[in-house]
Order: sequence, then C-alpha cells, then structure tokens
Amino acid sequence: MNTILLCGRRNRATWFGAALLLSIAAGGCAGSRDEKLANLIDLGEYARAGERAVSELGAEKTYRVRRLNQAQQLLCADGRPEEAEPYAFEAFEILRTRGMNADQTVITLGPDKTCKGEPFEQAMTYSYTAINQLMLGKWDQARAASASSLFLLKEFQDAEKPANAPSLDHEAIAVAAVMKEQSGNAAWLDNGYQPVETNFSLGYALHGLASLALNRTDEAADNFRKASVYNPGFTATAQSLLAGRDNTVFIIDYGRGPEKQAYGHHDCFARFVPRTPSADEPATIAVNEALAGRFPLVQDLNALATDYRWTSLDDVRLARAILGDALVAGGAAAVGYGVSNDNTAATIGGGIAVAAGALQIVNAHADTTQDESLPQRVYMAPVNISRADSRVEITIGGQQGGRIVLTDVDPPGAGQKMRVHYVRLAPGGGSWQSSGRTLYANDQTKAPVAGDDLPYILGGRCVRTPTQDVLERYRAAGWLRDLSLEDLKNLYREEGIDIDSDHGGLHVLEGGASLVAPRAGTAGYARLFGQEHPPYRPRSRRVAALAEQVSAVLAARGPASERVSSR
Amino acid sequence: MNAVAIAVFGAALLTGCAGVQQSTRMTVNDNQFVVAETQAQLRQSEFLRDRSPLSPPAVVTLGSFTNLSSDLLSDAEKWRLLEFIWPPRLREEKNIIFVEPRGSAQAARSGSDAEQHAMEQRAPTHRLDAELRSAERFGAGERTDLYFFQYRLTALATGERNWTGGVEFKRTAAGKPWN
Repeated sequence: MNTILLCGRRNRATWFGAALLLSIAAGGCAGSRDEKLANLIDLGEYARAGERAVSELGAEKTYRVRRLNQAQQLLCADGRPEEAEPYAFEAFEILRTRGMNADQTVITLGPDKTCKGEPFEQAMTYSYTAINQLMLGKWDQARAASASSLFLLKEFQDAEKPANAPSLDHEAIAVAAVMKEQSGNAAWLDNGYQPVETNFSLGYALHGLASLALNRTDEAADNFRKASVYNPGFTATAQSLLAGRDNTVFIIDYGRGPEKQAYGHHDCFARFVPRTPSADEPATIAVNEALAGRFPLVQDLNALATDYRWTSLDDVRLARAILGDALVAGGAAAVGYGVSNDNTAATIGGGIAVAAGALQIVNAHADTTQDESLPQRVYMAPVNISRADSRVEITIGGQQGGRIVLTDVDPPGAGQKMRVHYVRLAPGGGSWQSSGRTLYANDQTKAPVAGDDLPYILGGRCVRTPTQDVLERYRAAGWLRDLSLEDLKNLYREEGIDIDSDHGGLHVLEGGASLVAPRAGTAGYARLFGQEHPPYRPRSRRVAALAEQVSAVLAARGPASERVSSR
Repeated sequence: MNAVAIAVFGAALLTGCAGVQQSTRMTVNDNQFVVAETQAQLRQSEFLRDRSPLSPPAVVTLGSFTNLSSDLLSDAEKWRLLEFIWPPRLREEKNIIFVEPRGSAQAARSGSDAEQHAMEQRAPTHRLDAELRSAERFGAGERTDLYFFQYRLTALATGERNWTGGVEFKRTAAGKPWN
C-alpha cells in the first residue's frame, strides 16, 4: 500500500480522523477482476463462462448482482434463456431494493455492504433482464425491466454553465464537495444535484420494442423517439420497426467493455478506460445471402462509462474523506484554486511536502471492482426472416471476431408477432463463429446432417433427445433395430446424460451431460453445432461395446458424408 | 351485464411488517390479498351469485395475464392470480368447469388423433383475462407504486363482458435507488 505523508497544523486533527476512517473503511479493497471469466467471454465460451458465474454465486457476499448479471447475460448468449430467467429475476429484485447501504456507497466492497454496481452497470443489468424476457417472448415483462433501466441521473453541473465549460470529472466533483463542505453544506454530494432525464438510448429502444410487441404503438413511438433524441443514428431503425415490415430483431453485443482503473492523487479516483475503441461501424446483416440492412449502434458503453453521471461517486466520497482540505489546497494547479501560504502545508500533484510530526495516512486505492462481462457497444437490427432454417450473417467492421454466421434461424411461430435473438460476438472467437455450418443434428432443426443416422454416443452426429421418431430414423438407416425406445433412453442414462429434464447445463458435445440444444440464432448454437467436437468416449461398458460394434460396421460401410437419415 | 365492482384500498401497506420498506415490488401477501378480494367480488357478482347446479354449463378457460406494471411477475404468480380467484366447488354448486387454455393443452398433447379430438371438445364458453398496471411516484428519498389489477370475464359467443373486477393498493419504499 502507498503511504501519504501529510502535514498541516490546522488540519492535523481532521486528517488523523480521516486516517482512522480509512484504516477501518478501506480494508484494502483494491477490487478484483475475474480474468478467467473475461478470457472465456473473449473466446465465446459462453457455456463455461456462464457456469463459472453461477458457481461463484455461492461465495459472493457483497456484489452478488454482478454474478447474477453475468449468469443471465452469458446463458442468453449461449442460447439458453429459460435457464437464465431465475438469475434475471433475482438481479431485478436486488436492483429494485433501495437504500441498502447507509453510507450511500454503490460499488465499494466491504462487510455489511451490498454492491449494486455502477449506475451504467445497473442500467445494463436491467437491459439484459429485458433481453432475456424478449427472447422468451414475454413482452410485458421485458417492458417492465427496460422501463426500470430508465432511472433519473444525477446532474451536478449547473444548467447555465458556460458553453465552453469542461465536463465535470471525479476530481473536480471532489474539490467542489470539499469547498461546499467548507461553506457549510456537508451533504452536497447527497443533495446538491438535479435529477435529470436519462440518455440511455438502449433502454428506450428496448422499451419501445417491448411496447411494439404488445401492440402499444404510441408508447413504442414515444420510446423510439427518445432513443433517437439521444442517439440520432437510431432514427432509421426506429422507423423500420414502426413500419412493421420486420418479424425478427437481433440484439448484438460487440467488443470488450471499458476497464476500471485507479488514477489521480495516490490512485484515489477511479475511471473507465476503453479497451475496444468506440467507432461508428454499422452492423451489416445478410439473410440467406441477401443484404437485409446496415444498422448503427444503439449504445456505446465507453461513452456511458466516461460520463460522471453514469458512474458512482464512491471514490469521490473516499477522496473527500482522505484528503479533505488538502484536495482544495493541493489540487489548485489543476482547478485554479490557490495553495495555502503555510510553509508546512501539503501539496498534491506537485509533490508532497513533509514536516516534522507528519501524520501517516494509509492510502485507500480506489475500488476497481467492475462487471467485466459487459460489451463495448450494442446494436439493434430488425430484419425479416421468411423461411425456416435461414442463414443470417452479421458483420461489424473488419476486425477479428467481427463476423458471425447463424444457421437454422426460423421465422416467428404461428401467432407470434416477432422473435428476438441476442447475439454476442466474441473478439477471440474461433472459426466456429463464421463457419456457417451445422455439423450435428439437434432438437432445434429438422434439417438433415451427414451422420445423423446414429446417436453421437455411438459414433454418429445426432444429439437429438431420444424419442420414438428419432429411433425410427436410426432404424430406417439400419441401426438399433433390436432396441426399444426405453432401451435407447437407458443407454443415455447409463452414461449419466440427462434426458429426463429440460434442465440444461453444459452440453454433451462439450463434455457435459445435457442434450438441451441452445436456441438457433445465437452464438451458443453456432459454437456448439458449427464446429467439430472430439468423438464421444463412453463411460459404461454397454455403450462402449455397442459403440465398438457400430465402429466396425461403419468402417466397412464408408465415410459419414454418405450417411444421412431419411425423412 | 354485471356492474363493475372495484375495491379500492388506497393508502394501505399490506404487509404486517413494521418499519421502513426498501422495495415497492409486490410480495406474496399482496398477491394473497388480491386473490382474496377478487374472490369476494366474484362471489357477489351477478354472473356467479344467481347460478345453481341446474344452470346452463359455463366452461371457463383462463386467458392472458398482461403485466403492464413496473414489476416482474413469474409465470407461476400470473397463473395463481388467474386461477385462485375462483371460489371452490363451482362444478357442484354452479355448474362451472374449467378447461386448459388452448396453447398449454396443445403443448401437453403428443398429437394423437384421440387427443386432438379431445382438444376440439374443450369448447369454452367464457374466457378470463387479467391486466396489472402501476403508476410510480418519486419523492424526496422515496418511491411509491400504485398497483391496479383488473379482471374481465367475457362470453366468447357474443363478446359480452359478463363480469369485471378490480383491486388496487400501493407500496412505498424509502432510500436512494442507486445504493
């Protein structure tokens, strides 16, 4: 830990008190970043990343909503919105609870604290709850969740400020807070702001989309208008949605969200630094090789994270407590205030002056805890899907990881007004992201796949849930004629593969025990079925023996590409 | 046509908890209150009050529960709020039976001919729908949500509204929203 040596006769008592405060309150909370999770997300391994987020929930005492948001987000990205729903509800419950921390901190970890995340992280958490409900076709619930993301912001800057006045940052706010305190308004940070309308265009867009699906057209138009006010590029997308020509909407996440870093006087302050640069690149969508449209982004998280209204002021409170008057005296060079003439006064920024009997204050490094799962930007792209098993190609810029090909995308079902897909592009995603192939037969598509006349557990390429219909397909190809359906199901059970519930979890193709297929039109579907997986390794003697028999027959019959089950 | 009967319980905080509330989300107690109040209104309604075991059969299907409030409701909560408002022994005392909604009934079937025939015999005569709305107010350090439930029983043959019921209550929570 760094140590600041400060002195100043008249402020010694204040600073000693601040030191006590720090040593108790700071607790060495330097924030922890889950690099393992971040790496899995980078690679597009959303199933494993979701598993990690869920497994960390039990140990999470303070910042539970971060893990809940990660779970809901990653499971949706993996094409499993049903499994994400409980986490979405719990995240909503926490965020809707008010006044959880008596000291009004938001992000600071510590005993008896409930961390809800930066305001922009909270808005994004509500948005992912809305996206989860949109994927499930629960338009009314999506409306409620997205409406919650549109909370008022705290504006400290004078509305009549000069046109060329710089935007406030945390250091300037901290100085202002100390000056207000000196003039008798110690509660300025809590009460000295104006509540202003949010500029969260993604929230307005999601609200509008949900309203549109509920046939509340006027409400949809109002929200789309607001989204366009704060993001003029969204105007054309809004018009397309209101025209009602499109039956499918892709909500697309791209890039790596900004990273939270400590900076400034002894790392007292926190700020967000972009990792993926902001850019105006549109998302280009092609459906079955035909261009469907180019869509501008609807939300740039770099812009949110660098706007003080969207970040917590916990570091400001701490800096005010640590440095107090010294902030005003020492930060003068930066903000134009005079430095004390007392030759034992501390200066900050220009160096630290040390006098005899100087106090030692433990420096509390700003908390850099953050939700590391967020993207850099979000797109909303309405298109029309007119036939089953359509192919959708999404391209953003020319960077690696900026392209994904989705297969087996169906139009909305009978009676469904629209279908919403959430797609997360992986910056480090493998070739599966753009392979455009479906290599394994699954419950999401009836389209034939080479080698789907045999179950995967016996050497084939079928991972459909065993049913009478599926068994008939195997039999028609000459396989498993002496097995009943129950015999076939028992083979899976002997392997520990869950076929009796729709619980989900890691898929058998990735070493798990589930046959539940992710939804088509998601990155999870593309990753699972768009790349080769290692051959299955039986655990039970029965399945191993059967697989050996099959292998011998296959060797005599020829390559898999010649074997496609009849329909 | 039954008269509209709405129970309005303006300022009541419905939980038995003393002390400051931190959330305006609905609780289990609120749902139970809504069910109890709505059931009482139904008992007194013209639709139900004058029926007997000899009345023409009424086949009721549960329609949609549309949530236009600021809160999230689980599927189980929605179904409970539709299903549990009906008093007991309706088949024996009022000649009213309930059938599954078409969507869930179809999903539960494997599609055999016999089961499709059974689907067609559902023949509901009435449908119950519900809607939940809310209005939010924000004051100094607190938030108030006023919730309003509305139920509608519609005769499917004629479109006539046979019964409408409603329950209203509010919840207030203190504290800042960000922390």
